[in-house]
Amino acid sequence: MRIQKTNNFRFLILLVILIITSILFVKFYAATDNFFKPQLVFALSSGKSAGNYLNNCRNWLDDLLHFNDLRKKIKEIKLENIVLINKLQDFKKLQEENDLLKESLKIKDEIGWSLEMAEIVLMDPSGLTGSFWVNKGLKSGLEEGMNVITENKVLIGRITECFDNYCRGESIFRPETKISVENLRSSVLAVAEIDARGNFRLRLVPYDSDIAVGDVLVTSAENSYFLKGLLVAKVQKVDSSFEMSAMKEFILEPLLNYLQISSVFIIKDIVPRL
Amino acid sequence: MIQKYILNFSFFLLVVFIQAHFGMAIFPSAFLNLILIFLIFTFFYFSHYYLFFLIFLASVVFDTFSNFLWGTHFILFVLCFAFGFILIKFLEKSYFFSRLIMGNLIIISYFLGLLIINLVFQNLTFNLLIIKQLIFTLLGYLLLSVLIERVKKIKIA
Repeated sequence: MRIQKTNNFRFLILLVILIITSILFVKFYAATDNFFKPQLVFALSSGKSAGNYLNNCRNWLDDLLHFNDLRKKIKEIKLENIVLINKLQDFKKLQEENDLLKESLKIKDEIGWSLEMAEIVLMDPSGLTGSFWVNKGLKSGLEEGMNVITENKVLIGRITECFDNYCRGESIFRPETKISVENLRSSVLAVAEIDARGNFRLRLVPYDSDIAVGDVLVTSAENSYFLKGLLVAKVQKVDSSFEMSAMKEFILEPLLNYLQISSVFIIKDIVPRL
Repeated sequence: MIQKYILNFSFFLLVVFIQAHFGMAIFPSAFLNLILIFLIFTFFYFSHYYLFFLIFLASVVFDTFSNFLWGTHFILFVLCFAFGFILIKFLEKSYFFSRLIMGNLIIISYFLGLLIINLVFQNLTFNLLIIKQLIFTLLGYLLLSVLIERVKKIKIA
């Protein structure tokens, strides 16, 4: 009886020690947030050349699995290219006319954004959140909220956390990120977001609004986190399940070529905030 | 004995590197969770203290690169492997099929935890992607287990 009591007492003490140690360890882990993040990004990004081989391997596998889609896309792009060449001819005439008018009215050219070039060194390995890391940080003048774009002004996302030499960003594909977009052709406003299946969708489109397949969408002035006029996506197809409802929905094709982005630009002079 | 641990740890670093570079995608996509599979194999054949050390490192990697709350993966890994320890009390780990069942249950509990955390705390909407990842990881674990078992049998023969 006495031995059993002693054993129970020992077990109780051990349990208390275990609980206290666990709490302390969880607390320690929670406090190491700012220490581990930049160290780990540095450690993993230093093996970049080997990482590039893995990326190329992934791209190759992806191409192999989707070669039929690629063939179709090449055909579509060739056709689109001819249309664009014709449009370019028209625009050249307009450009000349514009230059003449600018000269006669003495209007100065718009000053561009102040951009910081960086490289995406790592992305979310779980593939669920679309967060990414760039190799520039506070030392380069980056700060939370700055917009990240490609060289063709395609919106990638925004910076959310900065360390001395690295910054973490959230892409536009992060769940619950709603982007207010405007149709370049008809100026119709709508909301672009990712759905539960991972499709990029255009929502809140009134039934009679003028949106067609192939239209290009840019960010509108209604966004709290993104600057106006950045390229977002192209309308790919109408979602047939919404044909009978008052609002239409479209499936979008992101303009961001997510498999081949490495160099990005960060807009430094304007920081959109809520 | 130490050689075995050094080899396992180097392999773990390689798996982390592969997962971080090969699995990364800016667009949401389902990908095999190689680190979890590796941890399950370590769970069956190595010391539990060593496993805890690997869990700590794996959690740091996932918590750093994903956009989840800091500590989400750490708590998930600890809970699902604690579940694994309970399973070992009921199932014999020296048999292939019981190892297969235990591994699958650990994977299911991990992704179930991820789903619950998403629904309750983060409101992420990628539930279908998480289920896809669960299926990929289950299949990956199954294939690797069968392969390793075959290699073992060939070695013995």
